[in-house]
Amino acid sequence: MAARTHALGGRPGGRLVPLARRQLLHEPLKLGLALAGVTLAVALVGLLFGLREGIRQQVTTFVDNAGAEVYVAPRDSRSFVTGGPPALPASLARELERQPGVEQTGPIVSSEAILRLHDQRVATQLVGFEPGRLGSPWKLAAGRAPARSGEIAVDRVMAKAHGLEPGGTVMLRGRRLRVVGLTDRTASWMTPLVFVTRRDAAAMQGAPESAGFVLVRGDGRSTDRLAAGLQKRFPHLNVMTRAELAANDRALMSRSFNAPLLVMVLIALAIGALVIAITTYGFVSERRREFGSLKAIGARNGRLYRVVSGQALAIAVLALAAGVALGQAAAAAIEALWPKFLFVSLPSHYLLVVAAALVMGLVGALVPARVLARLDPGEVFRR
Amino acid sequence: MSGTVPIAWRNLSRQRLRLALSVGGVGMALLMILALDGIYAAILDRVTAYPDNQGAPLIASQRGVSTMHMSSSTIPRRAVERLQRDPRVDRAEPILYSTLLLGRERQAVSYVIGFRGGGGPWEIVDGRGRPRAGEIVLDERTANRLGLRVGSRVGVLGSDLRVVGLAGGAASVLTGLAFVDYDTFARAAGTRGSASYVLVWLRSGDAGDVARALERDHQLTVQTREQFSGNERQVISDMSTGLIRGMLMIGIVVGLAVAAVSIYTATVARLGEYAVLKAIGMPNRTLYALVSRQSLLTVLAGLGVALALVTVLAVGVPLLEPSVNVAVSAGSVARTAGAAALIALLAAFVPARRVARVDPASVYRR
Repeated sequence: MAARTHALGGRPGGRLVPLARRQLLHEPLKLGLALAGVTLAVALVGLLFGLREGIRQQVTTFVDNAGAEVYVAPRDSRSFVTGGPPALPASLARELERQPGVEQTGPIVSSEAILRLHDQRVATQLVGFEPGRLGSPWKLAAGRAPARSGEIAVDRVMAKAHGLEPGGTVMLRGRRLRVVGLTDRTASWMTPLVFVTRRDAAAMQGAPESAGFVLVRGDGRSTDRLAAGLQKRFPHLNVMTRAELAANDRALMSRSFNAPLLVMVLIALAIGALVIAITTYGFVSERRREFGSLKAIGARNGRLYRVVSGQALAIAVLALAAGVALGQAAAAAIEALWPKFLFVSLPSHYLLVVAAALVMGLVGALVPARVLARLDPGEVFRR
Repeated sequence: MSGTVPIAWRNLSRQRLRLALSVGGVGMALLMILALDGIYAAILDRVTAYPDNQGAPLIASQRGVSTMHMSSSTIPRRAVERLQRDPRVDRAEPILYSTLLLGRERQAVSYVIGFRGGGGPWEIVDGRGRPRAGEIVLDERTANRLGLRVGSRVGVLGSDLRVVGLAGGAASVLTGLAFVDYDTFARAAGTRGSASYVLVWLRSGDAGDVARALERDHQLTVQTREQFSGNERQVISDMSTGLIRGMLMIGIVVGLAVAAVSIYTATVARLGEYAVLKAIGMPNRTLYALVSRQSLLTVLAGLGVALALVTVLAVGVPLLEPSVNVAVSAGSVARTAGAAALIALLAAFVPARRVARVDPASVYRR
């Protein structure tokens, strides 16, 4: 105690006793429980941000992989997922192909569609494409892409979840379609991709010669110039680069998820801060006499605050490391068990999680710091 | 009960700040469960707002299509006319439907309904509810999001439509709802006379029986309003069940950790007193019960805090973000209470073991 009091008295050069660490390690079980609570809160924050980014990326799976640089759509159609009815003539694709700078085109029809599988209704993003042109499935895990009417290729992950294989059939909008292929890298938690011919998809919407978008690939020159040139020649249509369309879709998705996500993250932060507060307060209240003794022999409040803040931050930092690792492991486990979910960690997520842990640590130290400030050094002599 | 409850309560209440922190921690963990459940329930409620309120007892759609959400349906003009002539049908109103992006600078996803006689907005908070050619009625939340009011113009379906009314009770976290004149929609979308759905009013008979008969005779999917809404809910539920369950599990585990650290801390602080109780003959079983009661009291108080906070969220969140609602149901409270009881029992386990190991003789060594 003598060494401790000497050091905590605060004379520069005095031998410092690691009081904060000793208190933390004195009750390993309590420390373990506190770490578990804060670790889970950190992991939850990381998982929530990862899931949000995963959903944002999944929503642009088609746009990112279809191979088109430019998307031509009806005026006011600025999103692939909410493209609206197919209001373009499919023949527009040939007209676009004749424009300077255009190498390849593909008219497609895209709509949300529900597949009836067993007793479950599975929401999908239906893409109608013309075989051999832009918009075809980009990677096949089994079988082949649909080549004629009545055929469908479905996402591999969805197929596995529902026991579908090439040769099987599915019901889509009252039509029985034969599964001829399983597509890879087309999974999505919300709407996995399924592919049929454009004519089938358009006919299901009552307009067999129509398209919702025309996909355009340029001859290697600037995408922006290609888009601007086409927009000038077709002013009644909306011409977007792939990046613009993807950004629109991601923004739409983010808007839907931001508010619930924020509520959950704030709750998780509050939980983490409270766990740290409970733990550090426990250290202070169980050692009131010791802290009182230190104050009685001259330890300043600032020194004692640093002990408590050090404990709080130590828990936060340890939980940060454990929480990030747990979050990554949980994300990997969820992806392995349910491949339709995608968790994507961005550098900004790590910064947010670090900030979250520091906030939890600092807020968690406030309560015991107040207790210390009010601690009466005379208390030690009254018992 | 005699004697033990006061000890449990006194142990907890002697250090009010610790109790407040513990109750707060457990309360926040339970709030996470309640809030998630509430947001999800509100999404399910709102997703059926249109079929629930459009007024017709039956809804006909393209064969094999049983929802509006995540679907599109096309019924040829002749099929609509045949349905309108059916002697069992009093009135059959076609509607057009699509999920569209509204606005140009600021954008919002909305279900857009094109209607003539029936199927329009059911609650108007400003302006009028029957748009003419070139006009649109928006739900008020979408209008707020886009910064629009009655008299503003909004880009949709390739035209600038004038906002003539604002509808209430129609938006959800996923989408808004907008209403336009049927012919405006048909021209812009190039539907060539086809409809998306047909709302059907009956002359007489049981809605379920007539739905089955119409389905058979018209080669369409015909459902009662209740069946249609049930299918809408089922689609959302099938999509999100895994995710919601996972989040609830995380909430329970976090709650467990918080409760465990709180109860453990409170118990360890009183080990000396437990030793006294053991020294005067209190058996371990009674001490276990004591710790369990402390745990239960903390978690019950935490449940109370969570319920109070979720009520605040239910009022406050829609004010901050109008598209998000939090619906607190009796079922949700019952599920959370069940989770709370589980947390209380498990959280008492570790400190109870610690108390069991306390040596009564330690009382005399101080």
